Amino acid sequence: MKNKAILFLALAGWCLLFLRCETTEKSMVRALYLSRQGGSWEAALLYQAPEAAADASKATAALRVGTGKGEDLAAALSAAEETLPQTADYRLCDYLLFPEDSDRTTLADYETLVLTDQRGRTASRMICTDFDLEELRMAAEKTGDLPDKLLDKLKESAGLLPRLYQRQETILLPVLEITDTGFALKDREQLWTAAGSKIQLEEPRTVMFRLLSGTGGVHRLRLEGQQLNIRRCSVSVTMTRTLVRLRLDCQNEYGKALPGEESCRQLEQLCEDTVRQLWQQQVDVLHLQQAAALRYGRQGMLSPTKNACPRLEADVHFY
Amino acid sequence: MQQLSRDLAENLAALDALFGASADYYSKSITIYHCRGNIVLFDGMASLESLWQLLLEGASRHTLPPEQCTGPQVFRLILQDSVFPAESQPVEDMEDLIRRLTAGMAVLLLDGCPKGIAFSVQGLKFRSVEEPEGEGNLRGSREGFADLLRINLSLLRRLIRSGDLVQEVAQADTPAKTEYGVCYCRSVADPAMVQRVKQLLAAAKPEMLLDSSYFMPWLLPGRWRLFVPVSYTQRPAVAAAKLCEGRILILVNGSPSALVLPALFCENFECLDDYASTAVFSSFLRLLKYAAFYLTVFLPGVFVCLAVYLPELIPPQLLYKIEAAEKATPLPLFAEMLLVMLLLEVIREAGLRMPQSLGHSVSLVAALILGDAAIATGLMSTPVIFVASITSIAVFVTPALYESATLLRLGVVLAAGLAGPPGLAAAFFALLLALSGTGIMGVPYLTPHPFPQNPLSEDGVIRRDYRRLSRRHFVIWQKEGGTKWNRIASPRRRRR
Amino acid sequence: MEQDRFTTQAAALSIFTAAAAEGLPDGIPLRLFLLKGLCSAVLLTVLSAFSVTFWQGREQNAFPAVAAKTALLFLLLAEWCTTFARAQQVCRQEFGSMALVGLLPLLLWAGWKLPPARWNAPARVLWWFVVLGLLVLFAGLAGQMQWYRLWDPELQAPTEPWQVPLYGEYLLLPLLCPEAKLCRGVFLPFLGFGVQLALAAAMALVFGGGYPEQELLRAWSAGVFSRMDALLLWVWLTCAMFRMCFLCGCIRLLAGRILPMPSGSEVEP
Repeated sequence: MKNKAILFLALAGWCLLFLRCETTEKSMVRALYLSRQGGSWEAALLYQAPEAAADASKATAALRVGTGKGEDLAAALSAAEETLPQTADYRLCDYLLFPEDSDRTTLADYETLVLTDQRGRTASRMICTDFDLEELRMAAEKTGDLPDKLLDKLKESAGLLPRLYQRQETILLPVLEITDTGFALKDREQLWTAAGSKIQLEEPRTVMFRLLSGTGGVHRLRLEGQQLNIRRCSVSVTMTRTLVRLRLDCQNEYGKALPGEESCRQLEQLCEDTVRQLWQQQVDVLHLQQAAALRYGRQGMLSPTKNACPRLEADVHFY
Repeated sequence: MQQLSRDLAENLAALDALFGASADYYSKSITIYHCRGNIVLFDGMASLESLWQLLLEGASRHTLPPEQCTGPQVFRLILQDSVFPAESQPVEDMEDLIRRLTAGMAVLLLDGCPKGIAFSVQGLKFRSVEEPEGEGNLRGSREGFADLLRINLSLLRRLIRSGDLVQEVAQADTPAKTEYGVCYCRSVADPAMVQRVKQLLAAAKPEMLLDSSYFMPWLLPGRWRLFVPVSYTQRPAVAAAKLCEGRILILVNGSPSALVLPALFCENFECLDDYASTAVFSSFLRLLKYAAFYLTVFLPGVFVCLAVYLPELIPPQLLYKIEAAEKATPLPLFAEMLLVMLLLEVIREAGLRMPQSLGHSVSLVAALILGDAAIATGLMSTPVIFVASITSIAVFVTPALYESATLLRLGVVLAAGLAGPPGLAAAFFALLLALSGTGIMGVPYLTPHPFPQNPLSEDGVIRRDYRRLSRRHFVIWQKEGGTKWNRIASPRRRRR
Repeated sequence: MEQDRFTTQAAALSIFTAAAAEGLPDGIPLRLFLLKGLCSAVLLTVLSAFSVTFWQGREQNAFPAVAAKTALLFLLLAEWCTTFARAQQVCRQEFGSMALVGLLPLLLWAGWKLPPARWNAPARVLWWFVVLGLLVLFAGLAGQMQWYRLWDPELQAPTEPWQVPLYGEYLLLPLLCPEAKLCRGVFLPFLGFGVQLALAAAMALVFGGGYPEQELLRAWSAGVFSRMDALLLWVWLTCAMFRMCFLCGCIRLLAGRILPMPSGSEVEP
């Protein structure tokens, strides 16, 4: 009996040795802004750290900005974390912002840090900004709820934003700007190609790129004489050795009249021009390379760097 | 065992020695058929009016010549040749005499006869047959068991009118010699199990037997147990339904609660109304009950675990409210949750034990004012109180599992609060193992629990149409291939 | 006798847990993975079937049987240690908790003392959680899967030798499961292969390659919930704890056949 009691106490002691009581008091980082200035880094953390309130209905949790600088990325983040009231928690850090003049090494370095330190995740959504950290800080001081508006805008645009793990693919990055009322997306966007180049794209090419790459959401396109609102678009590619046929089946927005023949023709022209133009800039938006490899094997491979753009025929239908 | 003496005076002296000091002991000398005798009874238990009525009526119809009026002759006359409604079994020893007197019978002792004659003239005061408080229902019988064993047996006999029902009564081996009854349906109950139950009950030596649950340690020996594979009911209708499924019922004199064994886990989520409502609504209610049970067991622990270790699983709007609340209170989240749960248990227990006239107002004061004051002073936070309140209410959806759910809930909160997700996983395992390891008389507690073996069985988590269910009769002692409880091929209907 | 046996579901859950945590070879094209994996699965199935005939046709106390049991005992011990190490890694990295070490004595006691039949019901329940978890995982990743990532012209066949994942359950079926279920049990290697293939396909469709497997879970997002990886890892952790107890039970069964064990070691709660 005594031995059993001692054994029980020993086991309980062993259990309690490794158990501990954690708290919820953490600063939840919601978004990250990274900027590389020459050899040093600047980081800004958009975080939530609610004020104490036993009655939850009185609780508020406005977003705030904490900034830091360092010689490398880790040091800059650590410096930013020190400005936070509690320990930083990156579990909800879903967005990565960086200036539009950044390059891929910024993303590569951040991704390496994420894989080792878990300060964010590889599925974070990325967006460029035309403002730098200083402008953001000054604007935040002027307008108290600016960080909340920033997060709201990021959530609203989430469907358009590529993810960090796509950094080595061809990605279309929207550009965010500060306005009088908050934040807005600029008309021009940046296309970062897999080859490493950056291309500025304007509407309607950005919209066509999104339609062809299968991005979800409602796409608004202004053609000559008409505004088109396309809810869903499925792209079918039929390939022969000499011809590539594209069929776009677009769902028109509810309540609006179906676009006429002229609009469809314009859309088809835009589609072919966009594919051709991007092909010339070594961007294979329709993944014809992979389609040809699957169909014809390595011998029939198509590459934007080696082959001319195949003949295209686009066919657009609305329903 | 002291036999009755031929000498009436000796018998009376023995009874005087035992009960002479008791105010309710009544002894009246009479002469019947020219033979000296004594009527003994306990006042308040036997009805004197009934006794005199039947004695006078019987005595006026038959006479004996004086030379045939010895004790044994009068005894034979009354017991066998008269119209007196005496008990067929005579009283032969002191123990039997005491047993019958304490059952409310009157006993006639005759001079020169070593046996007594008992008359069933009970006039006991007892609680009437009322609707039980703990088992509410919308449709079906409103009767509940009373405190007297005989009345309860009669209620069952009224419902099962076939010759199948067997109701055996015995006296427990306790100083109070409390009576208990074992009921079963001969054609569906397993005879070996019935015999085993009777043997176990006969061998049981409880210090007191005030309720059928006192037999549990003998029926289910074991050190500790989270789930008990027996159920209790105070409704004769439910008890009758369970008897028809082959189960064994144990009733104890003085308690309206009947013990039913074996029981299955899934039965805790069924009730009398299940088969009175439509299949769709009954299925919905059962799903709700399952959800409520798992909610009451796991919600506080999961809440603590998510808030502390897995905040990304909580919507940010709710998360910051929880964080703000925890910041304002002095205790960590899990300690606060534990405190609120214990406080709610105290309030519940206090509301249950105090006089009914005070119960409502005190519960109101405790729950509302205490809660408000605690938040205002910053001792507790609203999310924690909200979660704890939900679980406290949800547990009453399955009142039969109240004890298990309460203990489990505390365990889960401790495990999740101190050990985080591994602790929650360990608590989850503990629940599964406790369920899977429970059984009685070869009937596993989880079988034929449909989840996840067969969740769409006819009468499992959801219920099919009653006409379809009635095609196959369910018996708890399902046998397959001649062996007991290997596996249930197709779960059958259960009746209530 | 029934108390001494696991069901094939329990064994399958153990295989699933191990296969889900097994690392994928780096940089291998999916098609090559499919071919090699299928061949490995067939080979292991044949091996498993051979082991069934070995155990059934062999006198249990003969030297080959005892030697095989001893070797498998060490294999099971090694697998137990691997599973514990992986589970502990998940606890540390994802939950910042050392609690698994603290709960270790309880797990060891439960796995050793409780009869195998007690673990069959938890295995059934956990399979439901696994299925739900896989559905949730698919729902959160479906929008991120792109077919073109399956084909990468830069990807070459790896130079490292192909590793065939051998688990003790494949070779111990007759000792673990009832005889009636052995026909199904020999195909357990296909379950392990299926898990690995699904993982490899998901990795290829979402990332294209070059990321650790845990990033697949971290890439999950759907609607209001931005992350569900911790919940999915919790499901795996629960399965890992099950596996640790299951392997303890297997070790006890095996040790009992090599050495006589004292009876009455079942515990009734």
